[in-house]
Amino acid sequence: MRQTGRFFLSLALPLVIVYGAHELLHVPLRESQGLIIFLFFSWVTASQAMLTMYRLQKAGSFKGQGILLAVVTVVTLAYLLAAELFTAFLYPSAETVESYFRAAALPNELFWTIVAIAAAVITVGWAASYARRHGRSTNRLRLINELRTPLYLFFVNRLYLDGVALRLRLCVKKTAESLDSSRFFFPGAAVIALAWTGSSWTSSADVSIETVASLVGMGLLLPLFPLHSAYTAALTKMPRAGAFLVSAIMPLAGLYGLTQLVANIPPTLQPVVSALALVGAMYASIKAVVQKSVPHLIAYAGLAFYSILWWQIATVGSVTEAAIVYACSVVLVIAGIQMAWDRLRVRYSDLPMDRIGGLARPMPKFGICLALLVMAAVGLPPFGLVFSFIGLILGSSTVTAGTYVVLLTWFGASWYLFKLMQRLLFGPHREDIRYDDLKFKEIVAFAAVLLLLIALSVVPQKLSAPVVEQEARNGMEMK
Amino acid sequence: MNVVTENASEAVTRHAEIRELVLQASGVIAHYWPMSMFVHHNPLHNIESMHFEDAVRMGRRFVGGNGYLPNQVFREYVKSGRIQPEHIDAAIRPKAEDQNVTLGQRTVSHFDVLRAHLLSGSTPSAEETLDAFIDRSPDRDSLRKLADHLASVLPKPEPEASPLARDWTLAEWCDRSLLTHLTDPINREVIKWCEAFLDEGHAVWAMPEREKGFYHAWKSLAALEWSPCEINNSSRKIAQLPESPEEALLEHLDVLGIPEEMRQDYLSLQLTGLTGWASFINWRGELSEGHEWQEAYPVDLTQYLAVRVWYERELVKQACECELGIEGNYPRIAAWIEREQNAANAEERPRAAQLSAAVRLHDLAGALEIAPTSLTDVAPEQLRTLLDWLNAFPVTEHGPVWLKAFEAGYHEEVLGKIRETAKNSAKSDDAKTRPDAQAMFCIDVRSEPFRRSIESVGNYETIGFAGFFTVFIRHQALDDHHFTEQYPAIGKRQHTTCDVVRENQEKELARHQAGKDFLHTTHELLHDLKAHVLTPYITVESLGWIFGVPLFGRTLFPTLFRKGREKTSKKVAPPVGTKVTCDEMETDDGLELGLKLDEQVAMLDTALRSIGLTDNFARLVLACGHGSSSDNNPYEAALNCGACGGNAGTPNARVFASIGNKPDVRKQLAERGIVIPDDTHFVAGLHDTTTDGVTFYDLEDLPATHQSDLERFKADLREAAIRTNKERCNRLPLIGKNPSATTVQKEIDRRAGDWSEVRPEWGLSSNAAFIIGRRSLTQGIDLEGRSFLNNYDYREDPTGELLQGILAAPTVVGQWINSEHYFSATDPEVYGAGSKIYHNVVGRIGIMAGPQSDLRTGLARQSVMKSTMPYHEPLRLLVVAEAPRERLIKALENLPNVQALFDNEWIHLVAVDPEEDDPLYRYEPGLKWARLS
Repeated sequence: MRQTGRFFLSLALPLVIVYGAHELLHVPLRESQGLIIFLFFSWVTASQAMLTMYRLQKAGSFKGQGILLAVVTVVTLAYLLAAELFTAFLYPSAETVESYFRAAALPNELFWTIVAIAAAVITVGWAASYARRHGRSTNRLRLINELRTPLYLFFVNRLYLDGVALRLRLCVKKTAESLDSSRFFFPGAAVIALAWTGSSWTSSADVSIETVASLVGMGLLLPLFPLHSAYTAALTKMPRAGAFLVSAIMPLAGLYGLTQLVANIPPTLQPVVSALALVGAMYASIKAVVQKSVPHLIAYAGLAFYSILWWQIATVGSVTEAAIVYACSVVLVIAGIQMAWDRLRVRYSDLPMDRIGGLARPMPKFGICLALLVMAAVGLPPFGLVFSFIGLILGSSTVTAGTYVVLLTWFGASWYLFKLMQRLLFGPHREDIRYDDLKFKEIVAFAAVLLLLIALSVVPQKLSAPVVEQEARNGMEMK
Repeated sequence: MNVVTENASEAVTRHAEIRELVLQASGVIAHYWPMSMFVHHNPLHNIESMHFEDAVRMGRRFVGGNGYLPNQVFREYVKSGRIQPEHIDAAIRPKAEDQNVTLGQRTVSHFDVLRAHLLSGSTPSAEETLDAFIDRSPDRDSLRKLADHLASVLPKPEPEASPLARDWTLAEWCDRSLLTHLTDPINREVIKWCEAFLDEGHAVWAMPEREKGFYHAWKSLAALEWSPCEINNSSRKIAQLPESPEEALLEHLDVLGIPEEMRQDYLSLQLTGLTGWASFINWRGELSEGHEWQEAYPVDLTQYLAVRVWYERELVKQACECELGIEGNYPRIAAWIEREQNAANAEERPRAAQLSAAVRLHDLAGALEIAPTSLTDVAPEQLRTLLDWLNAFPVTEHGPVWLKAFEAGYHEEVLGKIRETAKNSAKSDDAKTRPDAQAMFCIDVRSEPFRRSIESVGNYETIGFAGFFTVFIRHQALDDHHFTEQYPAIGKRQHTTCDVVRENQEKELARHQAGKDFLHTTHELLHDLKAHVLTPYITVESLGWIFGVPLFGRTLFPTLFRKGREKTSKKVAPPVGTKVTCDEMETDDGLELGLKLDEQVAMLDTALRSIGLTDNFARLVLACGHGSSSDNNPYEAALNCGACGGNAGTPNARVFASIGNKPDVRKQLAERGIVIPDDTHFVAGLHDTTTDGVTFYDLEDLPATHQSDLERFKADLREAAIRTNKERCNRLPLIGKNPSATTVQKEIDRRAGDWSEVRPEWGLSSNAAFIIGRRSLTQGIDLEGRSFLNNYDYREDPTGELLQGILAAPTVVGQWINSEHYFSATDPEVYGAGSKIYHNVVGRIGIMAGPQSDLRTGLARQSVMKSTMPYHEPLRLLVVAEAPRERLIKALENLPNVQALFDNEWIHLVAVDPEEDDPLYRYEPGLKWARLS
């Protein structure tokens, strides 16, 4: 009984100290929930410390208890005072502070319910540990013990987050694979795109055949679903040099054409293009995720990236500077990854992705080049793609469903391109291959691509700086 | 009733059979001791009964480890001159036959071909990459022509044997062939459960129900999990598993359809999936007698396999049903593979074989300095002969030849030195002068440079002796709650000792205990507050800054901080004078302590005779154990004394010295013929192998008459330490050549206390020889800290018993240490523990790389590698024994296990026969000798 009394005392005493300190200081924030949280944690900590002293059988020591209580008192006082002074230093106006606290506060009932439940759980936990240590067993304790095992499993499985992530990944992969293997995938996507465009269609009055024909031409060059076949075929079926050239020339020519054409695209067609681009982005991402052939993966990654560009141009109604930088960056990234694969193909034949891997050790120079290119593709500064992508996203004034599709496409690209890199550089290593790392000339070519990508993140800003400054000056004059 | 009895008896037989099967399967893994008592071991220890080369091959097959350095590294050694051409020739010659081939105008011998192949070492390229390789070659036309030329003589390629259940588990086959991900999740789950179950007090929240044993605890808990690695209906399936792990394992094997004759190999593959965890469980299940954690929470390999194979069984079933539409078992998968092989395009294979042969011949021609284009003029039959020679000596078989050439260089050097001293030693008379002091050190390779330095600073004699001084004790230090096992892992405990406070130390003891109490309470309090779910928030906010002091101190001023911490610790808990309980006594709780008088006499008698110290005793005889100083080093025990179970050898040295000073013991010893003069005093010491400082113990018992001797000895030891440190610094990285004494001291002190230092010392790295003999055999020779030195005087051992003792214990421990270093250097990732950078301590039993991995056994990369080349040259131990050959043969005949080590070439033996003019003889398998000229 005496021990039980001590146990409850060790829970109550810190509470008295922290509350006393709180009252003593007349902290003006005492009604704020933040302070309550602090007091709550202080109480838990101090009580736990006292219980530890019990466990070590030091609780009977007056000296030990005294030191502990003194520490708790000093820490609480000092901490509260420091918090108060710091808050006052940051926000001298009491009203401002109060408004912030008010804005951040949970509804009072909810807050106190959480505090009460947390306090009850902790106290019951302590009581259960205490009772078990003293060999007492009750039905209630059994209930707590039964809860412990599922809780243990919950924590030992890292809150099942790995499991959820794994399921999600498998689900996406299976869906993508079944879609890809279905002969209805492409027609289905085309039908969805048509339905979507149909729903966006307002009037055909301002649409001329020339404009549509020009758009189709541009869509063939700068790949747009469902006209992307020429682009993907060029990348996957043409001879090496041809594929390489076409993968760069086609999109750039398309973009150039689009800069000339964009002003003439009637508003009616803009949502149509936007819908095609979004369907194309999803279609390309799904195709890329399931690829085992690297050229196909690169081709569909290109389609996904260019679909984002189409969507932005259609949404904004112009080819912005960010769009040009983005297009050039995508051309460079795709060409770079294509070149990396080409270097492997020349050395080791056209192997599927799962037949070659672990190149980081035998081909370190190649490993660095590929890693940097993939990093550039998935948005690592200082390469131009990330800045121009952000420019594209910010260029659109509102957040629409399209924005989410674009973001998903970007995440998708991060997934499959990282997978490609991981597999090639860190996957299972084959010992029956004669490895041969990049030669100087090849490294120069990769360095040129990477330097251009870095330049694209810097140069346009420098070029546009005078214009921006002039606009700012005009703005000031207007004021 | 009879039926029930019969069923029960059948079950017992079945269980025994499956346990035997598991035992056989576990041959490919070793035993892994917990890191707190790090025991150097051979990762292939369980297959030491095989020839070294066969065991390496088996390790390669099951564990995936390389048992030889990469051929490229050996070629670097050729370039640097470490491997000499004549040694390469000598290593190749036994493989070469007296045959020649005529290539145009040149005649090439079998030997020439093997040599060129070894030195150039071109690997055949994978068939699927051959076309690309040839297309890029400037000799593409001649290569294709050569391939055509060979078409008539090359046999039709045989279909490759399926590795299913032979080299790969079913899950591995799925991963490689169907691109599934089964092995990783299986490993993750098994690691999770092993980590939780095997924890020895590290986890804040211990796994429930561990007392049921591994299999049953897993069965209870895993059934409550939410879908482990996507296995459908896992709870129901686990609940339906048999209660006995043996039955469960049998059921798994039946469901997987593994044929009876393949089961042992299959289980070996399962065990080597996570070699580290399996090795630790192997130790727990077989060798951890009396280990409290094993007694409380039993585990063995059968239970482990019953859990692991269940995951495989379920995942393979799901994968095969999903990907192939067949049942996930061996017969179905094997049938599927056969079908696929038959369907595969076999027409391209002969052409690929021709191209591959052409490339290899082309490379060989280059290595032989023959124009490759001329090969098409050679008769195809001659080329076929060349190819046959190459096939019989594939690059995977180059390792043994390289190793022999590599070892030959070292042997030549060290045996050359010994040959000279052996001749001088035989000629010199044995007139002895009394040394100022005699110092006994552990046989450890780190003692050798220190001993050399001590002998160079004064009239001192040093002696090499196994660091536990033949005292098989478990010991409890004053403030410890647990006993430490102070004897080699292959030994058995004989006695128990503990520290007791000396008389008139009550006041000091009270202060000491109060201080220790305070430190313990503070430590526990902080631990509890750090480990709780909610308390770290306030603890870190309020006390976090205090931790800044050690953080900055340990990082920026490691030496200063270490010394400051030691001083503070002494202030808070002042040291108290203790002595070790040597004499037999019984504690209040019935614990028997100490040794009986006759045991003490017998121990000292054996010890002194085995090292040849039976007369000419000095005034001071130092029994010096050894330990090591380092900070933040999970491998601390690996740097301590292996002969003392990975602990510092202080207690053993104190017991030994204390017994040596006992008048009763000396009296009985004199009756046995060993007279220790009255003015001889034994003192105990500890050699810190990181700093080479020596700490003395029990000086309260030192007679006043010996104070000045001790002071002089201490001063000389300090000088010896400086000399040794300087020598050692030349071998440590990042110091530069010829550093000053101050730089050396600073650097050594820093390494001992720097928590970011991955290499406080080289430890036992570079060990290569074990020399048994009188000190005169090695005195004055710089053995570069690579040799274990065990004193032995054959003249004191006419029966050969002492020699047998040395071969049976210290030599075997030396071989374990050598093998651990050998394999950690040849494959730092598989046999070694990988880089220290990623290491995390798990469960107080070992380390993992990153947050979750196999338990990393072996030594860290930093312990054996210097940059990209090995610091520890992986050489098999060279045992040099100064003894008549007949006596060595007799000893080996009595020690069949040790003889097997020599016969199977795990270690080399060279006899220095003192009765011969040309005294060096190399041991050859089958108890034969060959003179070394």
